[in-house]
Amino acid sequence: MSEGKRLVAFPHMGNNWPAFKSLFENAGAEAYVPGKNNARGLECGLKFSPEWICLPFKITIANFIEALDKGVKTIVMASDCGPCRFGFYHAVQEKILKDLGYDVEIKCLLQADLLTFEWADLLQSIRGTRLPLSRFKLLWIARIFFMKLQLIQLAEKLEGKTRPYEVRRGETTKALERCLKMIDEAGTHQQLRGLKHLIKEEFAKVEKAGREKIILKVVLTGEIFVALDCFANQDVKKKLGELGCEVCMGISLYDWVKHKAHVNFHRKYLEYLSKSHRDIGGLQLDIGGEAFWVLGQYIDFSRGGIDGFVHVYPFTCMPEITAKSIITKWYNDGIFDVPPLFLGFDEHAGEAGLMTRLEAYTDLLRTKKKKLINGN
Amino acid sequence: MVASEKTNAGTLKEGSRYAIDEICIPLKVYYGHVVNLIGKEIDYLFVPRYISTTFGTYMCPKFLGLPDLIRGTINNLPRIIEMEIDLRKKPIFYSMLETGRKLNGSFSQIKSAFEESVKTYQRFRIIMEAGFTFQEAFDSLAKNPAEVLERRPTGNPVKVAVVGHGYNVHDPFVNMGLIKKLEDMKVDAVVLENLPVQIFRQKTKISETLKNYWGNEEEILSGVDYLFKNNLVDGVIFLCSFCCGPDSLIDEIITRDAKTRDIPYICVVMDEHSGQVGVITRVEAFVDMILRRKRSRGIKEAG
Repeated sequence: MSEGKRLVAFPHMGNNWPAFKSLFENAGAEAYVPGKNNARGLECGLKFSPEWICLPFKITIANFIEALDKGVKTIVMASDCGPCRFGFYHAVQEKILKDLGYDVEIKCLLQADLLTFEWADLLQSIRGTRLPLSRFKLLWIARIFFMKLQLIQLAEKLEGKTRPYEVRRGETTKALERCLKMIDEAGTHQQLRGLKHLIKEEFAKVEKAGREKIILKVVLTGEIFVALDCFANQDVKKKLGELGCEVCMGISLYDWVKHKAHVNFHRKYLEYLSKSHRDIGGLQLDIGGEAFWVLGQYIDFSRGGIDGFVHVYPFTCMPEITAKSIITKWYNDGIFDVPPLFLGFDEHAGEAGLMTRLEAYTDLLRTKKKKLINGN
Repeated sequence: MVASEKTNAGTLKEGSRYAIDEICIPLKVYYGHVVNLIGKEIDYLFVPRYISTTFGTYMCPKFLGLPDLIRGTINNLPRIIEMEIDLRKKPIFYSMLETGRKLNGSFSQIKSAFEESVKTYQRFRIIMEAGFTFQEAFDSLAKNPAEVLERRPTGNPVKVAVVGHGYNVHDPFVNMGLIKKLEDMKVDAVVLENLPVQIFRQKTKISETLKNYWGNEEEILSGVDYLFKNNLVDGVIFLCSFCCGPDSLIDEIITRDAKTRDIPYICVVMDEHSGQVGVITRVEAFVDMILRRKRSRGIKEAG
C-alpha cells in the first residue's frame, strides 16, 4: 500500500470485480478485492446475519469480515431506495460489524438514479485529503468502468455459448479467467477497445466438437446477485452448460447499470411487454428486484428461439416470488409454453439435489425438442 | 357490499392451494379471502394497490404488485376495482376520486363518502388511543357516537407491547388469539394503535446514511422507539410472519436496540404450521421471566 492511499474493499459479485477495482483505483484509492466467495466465508457470514435475511446479505458480510481482518477500514457497498430489502443492507451490516468491534466505515454507493451523480461524491470522498477529481477525470473513470462492464458481459455471453461444445471440460472456464485477467490489466480506452477482439479470439481457441447432439438454448435470469455469482447459484451456469445447454444470460451488471443511467431501451421494451399483459397479471410497476423485467423477458422469450427458462433467486426474495407465482400460473394455464425452472438458493447447498433437478429439466426439454424436430 | 368471512382454517387452506409455497402467511390468508368472495357471486372485487402510505416511503413489494398477483394467479375472477394509493405522487383524495368514478359516483357523493370514512377512522383512533383493544374499538364504532367510553384500569402487574403488522396483530386466527391469551395471563397488551398519533409523524433513522423507506416498518420502529425511550412497557413481543422480508431486518434492528436498553424482547414467527402450544409456551415463559425480573428488582430496591 503506497503512502496516503486509502484501502477500499467492495463485495465480490461474480465476475465483475475488475470493473469495480478500476473504478476505485482510478479514483485514487487502493482497492482490496475479496477472494472468491466460498463456503468457509459464508459460514462466517451466517453467524452474524439475521436468521432469514436473503443470501446476498450473508455473502457480502462474509466479504467484509474477510477484508476487515486484512486491515481494510473503508468499505463501499451499493444501496438503493427501496422497496426491496437491498437498501437496508449497508446500514444493518454497519451495525453488525460495529457491534463485533470492527472500526469500519461503510460508504454507500447510491444507485437509485445514476444521473444524480451521487456516485461522484463517493469517488471524491474515498480520495481522502488529496485534491478533488476534475469533472473530465470523473467522466473518464465512469467510461472505463462502463467499458470494462461491457467486456465482462461479452465474455460471460461467449462463455455460455461455448461451454456445451467444448471437447475438454473446463477449458471454457479457463478461457473466461484469462479474459478477466486481460480486462483487469487493461487500463486505457485504446487497450480496452482492442480487447473485444481478443476476447472473441480467446473463446474461438477453445476446441469444439461438432453438433451431433441436440444443443438446448436456455435463458438464465433472476435476481442479479444470485444470477451472476457462481458461488451463490452453485454454478448453475456451468452445470447447465455441461449438460448440453447454451446458456444465454438474461441479466448482467452492464445491463443493470445502463438501466440505472436511463439508457437501457431494451429494459423499457420489457417493461412495455409486462405492462401490456395487464389482464393476465403482468406487473404494472417496478416492485423491486428484477421481477418486472423477468416477466417481460419470459413473455419476450416465449415468442420463440428458446427452449428453457431458468429463474434463480435467493430464498424468500419478495419481488422474485411475486414473479414466480405469476409465471407458474401462466405456464400451467398454457398461456405461454416455455417451461420455467425456479431455483431458490440459500446457505443450505445440496449439490446432488440441484444436479438431479437440472438433469431432469434438461431431459424434458430435450424430449420436447426432439419431438419438434421430428415433426410429431 | 359483501365482505369475506372472518379468517378461519378454511380460509387458510383454500389460500394455500392457490398460493405458491414460499409466500408469506398474510398473503395466503388474502388469497383465501379472495376465493371466499368469489364463491359469493360478486360482480366486482376490490383490491387495493398500496404503493406508499406516507410521503417518501414504500410498502413491501408484495403490496405493490397485489392486484397483478391476484389477477395472475386466480381463475374466474370477477372484474377488479383497483385502487392505487400512492402518497409519493398524489393525495389520498385523488385515489378515492379515481375509484369513486369507476363506481359511477358523483363528485359530491365521493367527497362526502371520503369525509365520512376519515371521520370514522379518526374516531377509531381516538378510541384506540384511550387504551381499548382492537375488537372493543371496532364494536363501539357501530354504537352511538355520543356515548363516552371509559377504560377501566385493569391493575395487571405486567404490561407488554405486541408490535407487528396490523394483519398479524389484529387477526386472532393468524396470531392464534395471542391478545386474548395475554389477557388471560393477566397481562396488559399494548398495540401500536394505542400509542399517540403524533409519535408516528417523525421519521426514523436507521443510520447516518439511511432513512427507513418501508411504511409499515416505519410505524413499528417509531412505536418501539417511543416505548423504549419512555420506558412504558416491561417487554416487547414482535409478531412476524415467516418469509416476511422487511421483518427479518427490522427484527435485527429492534433486537440490538432492546439489548442496549435492557428490555426483554421476543420475536414470534408464524406460518400456517405453527402449533398453538408452542407459541403459548414461549409467551408464557416470556411473561414468567418478566415477572421474576420485576420481583427480583423489587427485592433489590427494597433491600
